Amino acid sequence: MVARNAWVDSRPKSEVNSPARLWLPALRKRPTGPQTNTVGNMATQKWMSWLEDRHYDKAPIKEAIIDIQIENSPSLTLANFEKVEISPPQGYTERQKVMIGQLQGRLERGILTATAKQDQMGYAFVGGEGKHIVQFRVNGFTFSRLAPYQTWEQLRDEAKTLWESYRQIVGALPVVRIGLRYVNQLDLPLPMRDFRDFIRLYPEVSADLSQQLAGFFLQVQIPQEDLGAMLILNEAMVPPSSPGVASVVLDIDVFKQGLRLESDDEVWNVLEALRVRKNLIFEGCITNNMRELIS
Amino acid sequence: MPPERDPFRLDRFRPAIHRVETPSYNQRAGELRDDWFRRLEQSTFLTIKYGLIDAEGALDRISGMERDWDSYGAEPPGANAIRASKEILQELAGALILPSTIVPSAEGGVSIYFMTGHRTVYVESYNQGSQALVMYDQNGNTEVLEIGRDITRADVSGRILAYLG
Repeated sequence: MVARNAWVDSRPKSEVNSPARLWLPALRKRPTGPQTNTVGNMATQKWMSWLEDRHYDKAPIKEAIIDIQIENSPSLTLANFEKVEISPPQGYTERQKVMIGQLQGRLERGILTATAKQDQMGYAFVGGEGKHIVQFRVNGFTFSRLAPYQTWEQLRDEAKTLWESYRQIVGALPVVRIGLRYVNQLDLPLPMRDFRDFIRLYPEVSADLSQQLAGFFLQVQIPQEDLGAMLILNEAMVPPSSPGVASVVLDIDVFKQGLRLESDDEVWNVLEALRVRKNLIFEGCITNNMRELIS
Repeated sequence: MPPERDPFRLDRFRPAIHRVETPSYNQRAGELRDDWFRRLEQSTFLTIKYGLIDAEGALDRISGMERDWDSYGAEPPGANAIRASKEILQELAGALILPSTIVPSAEGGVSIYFMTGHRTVYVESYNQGSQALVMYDQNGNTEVLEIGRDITRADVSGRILAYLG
């Protein structure tokens, strides 16, 4: 695959001729004139309301995850979860152990030794015809919806119902971390001229290097200061889901931690805010070409 | 220029590599690795996706084995067995099942193992085209089903899940 670095080609000639210069992407001049990859010059409010209603028929969401962590309590142990039964209509019948693994390396006198241990943290239940997975752990709750993704409202309502079951077991322990994570797989049609035709976050390969790209893995951590949240965005090339496409995983994890929320209403309000932010982030990562592909 | 005077020789940088292998370097590397593993584990989609990549990598490795790989005259896994194994891996991944290990079969083919504490299941795909589902436990109870005759392909994942609990 050839990932041409078209941005480099668009540099002024004087800049192209100075290969040794240091580029600081954050200092790049923003483009002026009409912005074809964002939604034009929409006012922020209009843009936000457009996002609220935005629905893609072929949404590339492979998994949506709601993760809520609670304060550790010595009174809450695995035994509390052993008799959990989540009854129909959800039909979460398959039960699996959730393990946490830890590999510890130690360097002593130049010799590296490693030890591994695994502890059981809770249980996972599979339901919704294999599309829903819920974890009840001693340190928190995670609900996953696998593809095909339906709507935020369905995801949230299902998670709420299950959270109430979890609450009955753990009691009124405060929530310390709330996360919303969407794992997308973008299938970019081949032949592709440039990644930037479809995505707006990609590794910038120097024009002085070969533009052949066999793979990449990229992580950015961006504070969301207005929300007091953090975004961890992982992007990686993965084996294509079908011939004729290049597949890129866009993994958006936006979360708030260091909390101490005792009201569940507050928890769901935070999740609503994270969801709006997640949508903005997703839109910020794709181009109009990509929007057309998934619409 | 003699190698020991070559300023760009690779081993020139070895001391620098040793210097950064400090406990705090290892701790930071461990934190990054643990964070990535946690992210993988939290996502079922990514766990299955990367699990399948690993499984298909294992199949590719054993597809290159030569005759008598076990020194008892075993045939190497053939193209049919590899293809059938890939298909069954894909089907099982759809049911959120990943293999524990994949090995060549001494009978000529590929065995895909699924294990829990006390029970083991393997799907054996033979070079001549047939497939078997074998289930056994620590007490020596064994059940063998021929896929396509005793059990349909579509029922294999359900049977594995039911047996392993």
